[in-house]
Amino acid sequence: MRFTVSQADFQEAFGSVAPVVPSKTTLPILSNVLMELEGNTLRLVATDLDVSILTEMEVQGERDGSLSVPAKKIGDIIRELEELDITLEADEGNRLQIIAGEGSYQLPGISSEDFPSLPEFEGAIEFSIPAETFDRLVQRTSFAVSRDELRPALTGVFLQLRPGELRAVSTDGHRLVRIIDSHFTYSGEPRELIVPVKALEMVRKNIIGDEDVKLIVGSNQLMAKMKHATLYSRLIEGKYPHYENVIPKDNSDRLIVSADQLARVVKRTQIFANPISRQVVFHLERDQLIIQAEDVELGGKGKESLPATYTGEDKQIGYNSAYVLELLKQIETDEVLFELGSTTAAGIVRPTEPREGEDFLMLIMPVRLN
Amino acid sequence: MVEIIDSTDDPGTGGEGDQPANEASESTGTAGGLAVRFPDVIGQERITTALGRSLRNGRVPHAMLFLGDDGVGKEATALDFARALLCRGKAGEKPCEQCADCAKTRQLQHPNLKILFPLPTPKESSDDDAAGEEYTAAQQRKIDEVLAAKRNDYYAPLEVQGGREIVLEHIRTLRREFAKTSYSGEYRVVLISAADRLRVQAANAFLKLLEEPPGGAVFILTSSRESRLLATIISRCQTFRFSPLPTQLLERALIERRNVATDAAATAARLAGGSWMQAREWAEGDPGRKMEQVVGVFRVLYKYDPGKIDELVDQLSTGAAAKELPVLLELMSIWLRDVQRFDADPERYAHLGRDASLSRFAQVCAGRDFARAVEEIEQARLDIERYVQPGLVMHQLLVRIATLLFDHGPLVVSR
Repeated sequence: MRFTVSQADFQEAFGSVAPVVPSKTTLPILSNVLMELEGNTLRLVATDLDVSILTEMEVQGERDGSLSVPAKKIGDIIRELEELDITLEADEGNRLQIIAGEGSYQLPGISSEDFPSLPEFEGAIEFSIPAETFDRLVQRTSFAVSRDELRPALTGVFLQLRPGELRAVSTDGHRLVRIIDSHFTYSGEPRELIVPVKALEMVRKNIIGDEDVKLIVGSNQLMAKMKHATLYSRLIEGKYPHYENVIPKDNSDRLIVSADQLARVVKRTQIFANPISRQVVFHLERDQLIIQAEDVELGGKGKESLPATYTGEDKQIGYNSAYVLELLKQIETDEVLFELGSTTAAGIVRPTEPREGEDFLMLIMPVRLN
Repeated sequence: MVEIIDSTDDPGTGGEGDQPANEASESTGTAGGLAVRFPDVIGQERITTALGRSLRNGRVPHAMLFLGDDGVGKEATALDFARALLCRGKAGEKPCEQCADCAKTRQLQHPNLKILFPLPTPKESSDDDAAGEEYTAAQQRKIDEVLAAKRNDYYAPLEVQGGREIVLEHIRTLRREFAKTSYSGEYRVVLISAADRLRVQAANAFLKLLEEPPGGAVFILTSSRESRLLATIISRCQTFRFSPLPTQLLERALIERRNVATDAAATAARLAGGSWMQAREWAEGDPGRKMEQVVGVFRVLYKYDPGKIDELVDQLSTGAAAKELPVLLELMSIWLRDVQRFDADPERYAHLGRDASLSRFAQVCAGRDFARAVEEIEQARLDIERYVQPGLVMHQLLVRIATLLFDHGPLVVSR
């Protein structure tokens, strides 16, 4: 393998695969990045076996070939090189020679044979999502994903593909997000998959401009094709819980309040909440909402009211303030709508005006008040 | 906090109960012609045949426990079997050595092959879970060296200096692995070397995986210390017992694989106690010279000249030679064992008769109490270990052996 490329182009392409390289691994080959040259196309591949990423770039190719090289070392040297054309060449002893101006550097690689092959996709399902929709889906769902490895199904975002409808769901047991996109152009068999949140975030970061993201679902892996990169991710095994059962159907009490104002009030009062439970209490009254927090151990307390429209009986519900603030961040309308039932039932939180073609709903579980 | 989703709803803890063994897929097939090869393994045909059959029939057990002494080929068998399982070549034999998977498994670099073995705890952290932290460069280099040695030789021990236990973090990485779909292919093989060194918490976490084996998972545990394994782990595995390797097999392997000279190979194989690694270690030294020294000791005892015995005791128990005493004593009992065998059944142990001095000694001491003599040697070894003065121990031992084997009367102790 031998090719010439500008330092800046190579650094950019290298930078889009390097983040996948694991910092510690029991499989030494994973510390390497695979380089494959075919004609004038150079492919770079990195993987941590959970997520693999491939990018292609144009170079001046001289001799086809492939080699895997230590990502850290090559990243370090490329960064320090002057902005010149550099020539990279692999010899028979699996060594990579980098020639840049007056400098020549050599580092040992590992045969590309040892590098994990990219997954094959047979009988796969394909569909496209506009970049903006993908971005929204990931941003709206990723925050509510569980970090508990003992319940692996909850550590990913649940995608349900149905004809004309894409649903994305995430939950950690305390809150839940469901977003239904009905612009979805998909006509195949219904399919369900749980995608690790890390992979979705990685795709989001690699989207440039307003391209469409092409998603291909295989039996073991998901492939996301973007303009300049292709990402592969393993899926999470197991069944996703029946989330529809926990979405209350008869929450008839409606609270409408300014989302921005509520967020600021909660931020202030939560300072006085117990730092472990982070509990704030919503006092619901006909035309006002009182937010109250108290730390019994330290003796501090905070209380503030704000105007609101509320249709139900007066009552008090406790919430974890951190969860409330995270949900409010997802609200794009000026006002937020809470649909509430009993003081121990899940509350539904939505924007007051849904976006066209999108049904967006969040669920928050109350904290039991003593 | 009220939870939205009740944990009983979670399929992760629900479990389907007992699951059948991995069913065959089309790729591994039930085709009768499939040959499963174990190119690295010496002997152990009974086990390799059974493993090959399980793969052909698509009934590979989810969890296997390989028991047997060090150096008899437990890990070599496990790795060759893993290679066969992960091979996706279309050829009629597995591993085919031609597909991309075989290239990776040969180097132990396959995504679906995980190897766990006792590792040192990084830094001086006493935290149970700390094994996930970074190793120092020196520690990492040692670990890499051990793995590199294993790549070159599947019999090489997976032992890192300071590696005592398999800790919880290692099992966690497995749990993370099996929470996701397979990277590629059907089987996912995990080799746990020295499974008796699973720390309690790690063993318990591992049991959970064993109880609800993820699809395609094949766990192979090895141990040379069965008594230290948790009963709960043993009961969930199919056990394979590896026997010590026969002397002739070791001898042939030394000649064929390591180009050891015929005489040295015969001696080293006899000394190896059924272990390939020991056989190699002996063959690398000068087994003939050592053995001659041993025979020399018995010759002196046979002639029974008090002055010579004193001289021999001095020679063996002072200076650098004293450090070699445990080895010498072991060789003495091995040699006696061989003499006894030849004495008891010259036909069956005909190969021992090639050693002229051995057959002569067998004639001289026919029917003597070899067992007592071996016991005496063992006692002497223990005494030396407990820092009893080596000269005294050896003198007493040699006189006793002379009495037992050659019927010499009590000796007037000259010192």
